[in-house]
Order: sequence, then structure tokens, then C-alpha cells
Amino acid sequence: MSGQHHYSPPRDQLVGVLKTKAMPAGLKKVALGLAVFGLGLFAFGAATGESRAWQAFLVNWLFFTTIASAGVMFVAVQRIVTARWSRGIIRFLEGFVAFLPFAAIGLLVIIFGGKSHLYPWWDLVGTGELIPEKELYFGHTFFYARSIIAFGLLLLLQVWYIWTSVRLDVGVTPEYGASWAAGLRARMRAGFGEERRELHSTHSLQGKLAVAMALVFGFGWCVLAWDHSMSLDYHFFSTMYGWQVFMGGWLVSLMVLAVLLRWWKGQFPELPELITEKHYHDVGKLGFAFTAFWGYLTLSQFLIIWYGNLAEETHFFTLRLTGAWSTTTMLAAILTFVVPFFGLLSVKAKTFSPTMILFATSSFLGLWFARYTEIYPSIYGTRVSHAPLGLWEVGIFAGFLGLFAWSYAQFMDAFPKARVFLMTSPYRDEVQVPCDPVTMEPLPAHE
Amino acid sequence: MATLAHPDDLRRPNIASADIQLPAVTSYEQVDNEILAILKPTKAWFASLMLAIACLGLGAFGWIYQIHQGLGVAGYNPPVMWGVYIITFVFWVGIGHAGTLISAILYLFRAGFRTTIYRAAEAMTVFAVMTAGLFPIIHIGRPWKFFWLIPYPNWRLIWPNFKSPLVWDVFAITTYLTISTTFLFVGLIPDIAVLRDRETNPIRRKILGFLSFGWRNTEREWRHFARAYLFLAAFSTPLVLSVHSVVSFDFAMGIVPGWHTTIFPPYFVAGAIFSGFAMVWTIIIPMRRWFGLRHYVTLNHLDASAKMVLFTSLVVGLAYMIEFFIAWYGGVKYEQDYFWNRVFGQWWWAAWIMLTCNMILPLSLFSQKLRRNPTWLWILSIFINIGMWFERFVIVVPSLSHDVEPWQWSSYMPTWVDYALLIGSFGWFFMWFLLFVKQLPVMALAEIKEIIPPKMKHTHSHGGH
Repeated sequence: MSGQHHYSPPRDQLVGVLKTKAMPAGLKKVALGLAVFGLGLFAFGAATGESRAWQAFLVNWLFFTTIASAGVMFVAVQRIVTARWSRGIIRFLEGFVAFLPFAAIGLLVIIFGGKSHLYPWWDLVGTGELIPEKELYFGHTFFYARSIIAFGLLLLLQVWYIWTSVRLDVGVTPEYGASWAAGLRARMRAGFGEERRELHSTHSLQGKLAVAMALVFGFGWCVLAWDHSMSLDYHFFSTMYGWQVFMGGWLVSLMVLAVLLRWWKGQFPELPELITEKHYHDVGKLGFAFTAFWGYLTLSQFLIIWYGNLAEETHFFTLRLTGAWSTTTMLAAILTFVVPFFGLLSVKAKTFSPTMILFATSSFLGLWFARYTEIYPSIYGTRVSHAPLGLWEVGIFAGFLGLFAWSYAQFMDAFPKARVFLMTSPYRDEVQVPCDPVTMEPLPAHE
Repeated sequence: MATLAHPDDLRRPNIASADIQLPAVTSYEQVDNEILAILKPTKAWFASLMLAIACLGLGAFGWIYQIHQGLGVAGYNPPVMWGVYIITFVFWVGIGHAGTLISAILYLFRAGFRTTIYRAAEAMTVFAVMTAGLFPIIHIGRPWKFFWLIPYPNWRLIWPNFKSPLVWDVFAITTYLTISTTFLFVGLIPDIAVLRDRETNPIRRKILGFLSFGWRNTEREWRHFARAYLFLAAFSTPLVLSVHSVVSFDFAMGIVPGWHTTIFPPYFVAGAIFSGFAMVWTIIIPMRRWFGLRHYVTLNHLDASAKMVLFTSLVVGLAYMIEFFIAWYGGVKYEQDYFWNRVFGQWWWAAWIMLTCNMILPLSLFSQKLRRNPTWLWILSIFINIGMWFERFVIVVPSLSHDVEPWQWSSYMPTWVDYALLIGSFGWFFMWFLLFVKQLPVMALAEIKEIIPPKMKHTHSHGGH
């Protein structure tokens, strides 16, 4: 097997360990506390008409939602490429899906509540101040429809995909887990058939879902990035903008996974082979690679605009590189690219937990500043002498972080914490080559 | 047969396990015999080589004629001062990308389907970049002064203008050619040793021995080889992104409508991989048929590469749509006018060839039946090659002919000299490729051996170590 070792413990042993581990109650309490505090702060701000509460809400919504959505996309990509290396660890990323329903509510709050607090063009629609193209594009109904359809479709596919993935594991394990999901687990078990048949039919369905998700992810996030980030400076346009936004989420979802793996490793001392140094290295390499890719996209976009030197484009970066905003812009570039790129060059830095956690945290904070820099300067322009960064931003960040962690913990408690089926089924490798889902036989390799 | 044996415990981690990948390949001898059998020249091969050389001759004639008469004999028509030569330059640089993607990036990602196609793809890369490199020279009025592009102290006190993306190109492409050639060569070393061991002609044996650096199949050599290969793969990976990004800067840095757009770098890279994979199909599908290699390049391999093509096609398609959208959304009337003119105006036919070949036809790859149909893939690959040539046509010509000032709008029509040089470039490329397939193994013997179960160690007198 050419040096590749895919961990496959006996099913009973694996399930026996998995089901004894619940998420620490203290952690859930802290997360819930943060969520209540942060979202309470937002509610207070919104009720008192404080625009910064809305703006901080948008920054954090964009930050956490791109991470969650890209994390689930990464899970689906594992199916598209039929990856085996990630079988033992990918459930730890699948939990990101639990944040997405909350993100959907957040989006509705933003588009129906935020409006003129956020979008400088909102009140200009219909006044004749906008050029005809933007009059049409920013038309309120069209705007609502775009956001709801793009995010709704994405939500549907991402939840559905994770459902199919979790269903396989719930189907082959005895009932256990958080009581809130007992109904869901019962529905997953209902109609769960013979193991080999389920593997093939699920694999086939997941292939279709994953590809559909990739399409909606690419198109949908472009539209969401234009509408909820680029449009805040409605004179600016850049064709790369959407890709740059969602690849940031992609990068940080991997960095977060790298940190989570360390934590989960500590939770499962009985399963030393579940998460190995090889996984650390592989996830570290992906984090490094996409750090380079993010830097590549960011630099390319900047270089082309700088060199072209056209006022309708350069004003965007001039604003961000001067005055009140230069510090946060530089922080975004340094923390997301410079520090992790040079830091993660060596193998040791990727496998040694303190360094990997340090660089992943750097990337996480860096992307937060990148999101902040996308949104705040467009709203405030040159009207402020210091970047507004205080209780509103930090408090609402804490709220989102708490909600993210809490929803993740709820998910992980409700369903098996590893892909039991794909790790233990004797049929698991049958789908490594293209198969006929009906006959379950491999397709002929050659004529 | 000392080179056949291979220590079990030194297997390279990035070679994807493939007990199921090549079901009809069972022993080391089979690999050697079947793949080395290709090296024997045939009549059909000689005929193809003659055809390639004839095409090259046509191109050479066109070029000599152009040097004699001046650049005016090409179809340039101010302000369209970039035409077929720059289009063809970008086309061939793009072709060159799939090879390194397959050999380097897919190696790092441990993607199994690369094993049997990467050698041919890598050789294709080197020859494609060699072809591309000719065109900037052909495009300059005094081609014998091309070395002025290289910065070195000289009595003229002339120094290249480093602010020009065209100079960046020189560096990007020479770096790429150097690294990809080195990578190809390093991968070939153990295979050349196999050839050396089978060679009876003493002179050829000496040459092959020299080229294999006296490879003796020791543990130490394999260890160094594996490290060198991995490091070169890591070096090549950023180059896959950077080279075509720099080529895209040739356009994107200008403020010509349709050129100045931030999506160009990643979009060019995706397009390059797309076109490169198509060229890999153009080459490898006939090869597996004529050389009897269907059980090496299996339908599963083609299926996987078809998914890659579909993915890059969708990325390119998304980029096209974003360009249209932003041109409209941005409200810059020159951009809007340019895109309208591109699709419904003067150049509609070129744009629709591009959209049909690059966006619409590859959607057929959503069907698994078609992904596993080599005939369809080959036909599609020809469409993609055409489509990607026209993509560059659509970028270069409509922008220049329909710039911001209406008084200088014009048209462009290539002349026979342009076409002769285009045909000549195919002749040049295929000449090198055809020579390659009869000199060196088109599939990596060593890597294929790594994925088939090792022979039991028995009392064979030719044991490896």
C-alpha cells in the first residue's frame, strides 16, 4: 500500500470509545455565555439604532459564515476526489455545518434589518443618483432575492450533504448521543438498508450533491461577496473580488481544523491512531498552500490595480493604505500571509503543535482584519481619524465565536465523532474506483 | 536486470497506492517489455515525423520570408500590433501548464491517476514552452537582437525596462523552462538506467550511462532521488501559478478595455491547465491505442482527468461570466462597449467559437459515459484546443481593434505568413515529441513499478542489492 496507512479499528471498539466522549459541559457553557453576551450586545445596539452594531455584525457574519461554508465545501471536495487520508478526521470539520442555519438567520437579519446602516446605496435607489446599471442591480427586491436564493440553495445542499454523510454512521451505530437530535437520528436509521448497498447508493448521491454544491458555492459566494462586501463601496469593482473572499474562508477553515485536531487528539487518548502526526502534517501543508494561494490572489488583485492606476479602482486601496485604515490593512496582510507563510515553511512547524496553533491563530485573526478592512473603510471613508475598533466589534466577534463553538459542540454531541462507516466497513474501498451504483461492480478499467 | 529490483521500504510516500489501478499490469518485466517496445521506430512514426518536419519547414519558410520582407507581411494592422504570434505564444505557454500540474501538484496531492500520464505530459510541457519561447522572437522586427531582453552589462549601456511586464515574462518563462526540464530529467534518471542495461550498442550504452549519472539502484540513490523529486515538485508548484499569471499581466497591466481586469491571473492559470489537459488527451489517447497501452492509461485515468477538465472549464466559464457582469456593473462605457462588440459585434464569431468550445461542449463531461469514452474525449480535446486558441484571439484582437478612441478602430486579418508560422509551431512541437517517444520511455517505468506488487524475493541471481 505504498506507505499509506489508513486506520481501520474494529467497529465496536471505535464506537465504544466515541460514545463515551461528550463535549465538555464547561466549554458549552462558556460558548453559550459568549453567544448570549455578544448577540445581546448586538440586539441592544440594534434596538438603540447604533450603526456600529450592524457593521460589526456584518463583518463577523461574513467572517464566520465563509469559514463554515468553505469548511463544508472542503468536506464535499474529499468526496469529489475520493480521498482516503481524511476519513478519520473529516467529521471534525463536518461540524461546521451546524453554524450555517444560524448564519442563514443572520443573513436575513442583515438584509431586512441592516439596510441603511450598512449599504450606502440603500437609500439612493430610486432617487436617480445611481447609474442605471446599479439602479437595476441594487433594486431592493432583486437584492433580497439574490441573497436568499444564493444562500438558501447553498444551505440546502450543505446540510443535505452532511446529512448523507452522518446518516451512514448513525445507521451502523447503536443509539446514543444528545437528546435534541434523537428524532433526527431515528429518521436517519429509518430505511437504512444493507451496508454495502448503502455505501454505494450514498456514495453515488454524494457525488451529485458535492458537485452541485461546488457550483453553488462558486457562483453563490461571488454574488454574496459582491452584494455584502464589494457593494459597500459602490463605485469600486474588481472581477477577482468574489474568489478572493471565499478563498479566505477556505484557508481559515483549514487553519481552524488544524487547531481542532490538536484538541480532539487530547480527547481520544484511547485511539492514538485516529489523529496522527501525518494528519497534522497534511492539514498543515494545506494551510500553508492556501496561505500562499491567498497571498497570490491578494497580491495579483493589488498589483493589477496599482499598475493600471485608474482612479475608479485605486481609490479602494488608497483609502485602505492611508490614514485611519492603514494599520488594520497591514495587520490583515501580515497576519494572514507573511507570518504563516514564512512560519509554516518547515515540516516541524506544521507538526509541532505550539507553532502550528500560533500560525493558525495568526491566520484566523488576519482574516478577521481582512474582513474588517473590506467593510469598515467603505462605510466610513475618510471621515474618521482612527479605525473604529472597540467593544462593538470585539463583543459581537465574541458572540459569533460563542455561537459557532456552541453549535459545533451541539452537532458533535449529537452524531458519531468520526466516520465510523468509512473507517470500519469492509466495503469501504470499493468506491475508490468508479462503480456502477446499481450492480455495485467496478466499471471496466479499460477496453 | 539490476534496475528492476527496488527496495520495499523506500517507497515514496506520494505515489498513490494502486492495487486496483492497473489490474492488467502484474510484473516488472511486463512493464519494461511493453513500454520499451514503443521505442522501436515504425513506418507510421517515420511518416508522422516527416509530416511534422514538413510543417516546420513551412513555418521556417514563412519566417525567413518575414525576416527578408519585414514584419509588414504578417497581418498587423495598426492599432492591432499584436496578432497571431502573441496569441500563439500564450496558447503554447498555456499548453505547457498541464504537464507541471500533473507531475508536480498532483504528486504533492498523491493523486493516483497521474502515474501513467505524467511523463508524456511533462515532455509535452517542455516542448510546448520551447515552442512558445520562439514567438516573442518571431514577433520582434529584428529577431537576432532578442538577447537584448536579458539583462547583462554591455557597451550599449542598455538595460531592460523592469517596469515592463514583457520583461517579467522573459524571467517567468526561462525559469519555468529550466525547472520543468530539470524535473523531467530527474524523473527520467532511473528509467534511463533501465535503457542502459538493455542497450547492446556500446556507444549508446555509454551515452545512456552518462545520462543516468551511473545509476546503480542503491538505497542511497533512491533516497536522494526521492528527496530531489519531492523538492523539485515543491519548487514547480508555485511556478504553475506564477508563469501564466505573469503572462496574464502582459494584458492586465495595460488599461486597454477587456484587458485590465483583476481576475486575469487565476483565470489564465485555470485556462492554461484546461488547455494543457486537452493537449494531453490529444497526445495520449492515440498513443494508448497505437502503442497498446490501454491497460496503463485506463478509462479510470481518463475519467479522473476529464473531471479535472470539467472543473477547469467551469472555472474559466465562471470567469467569463464575471467579466461580463463586472463590465456591466462597473458602468465604464468602454468596457461595456468592448464586451458587446466581442460577443455581438465585429468579433462575434470568434467569441462564440470560444464560448462553445470552452464552456458549452465540456459540459458533456458531466456524463460519466462520455468521460469514459476515449473517442469523445479526443474529439473534445480538439475542440478545446481550438477554443483556447480563440480565447487568446478574443483577448488580443478585439481589444486592440476596438480601443477607447473610435478614430483608430480597425480590423485584423492574418496573412499566409501568420498561418504558416502557426502550422510551423505545431510541426516544431510534434517533431520534438515524436523524437522523444522513440528515444525515452513515455511512461515512468520506475513509478509504475512502485505501484504494482513487488516480486517475491527468491533466489534469482540478478537480485538488486
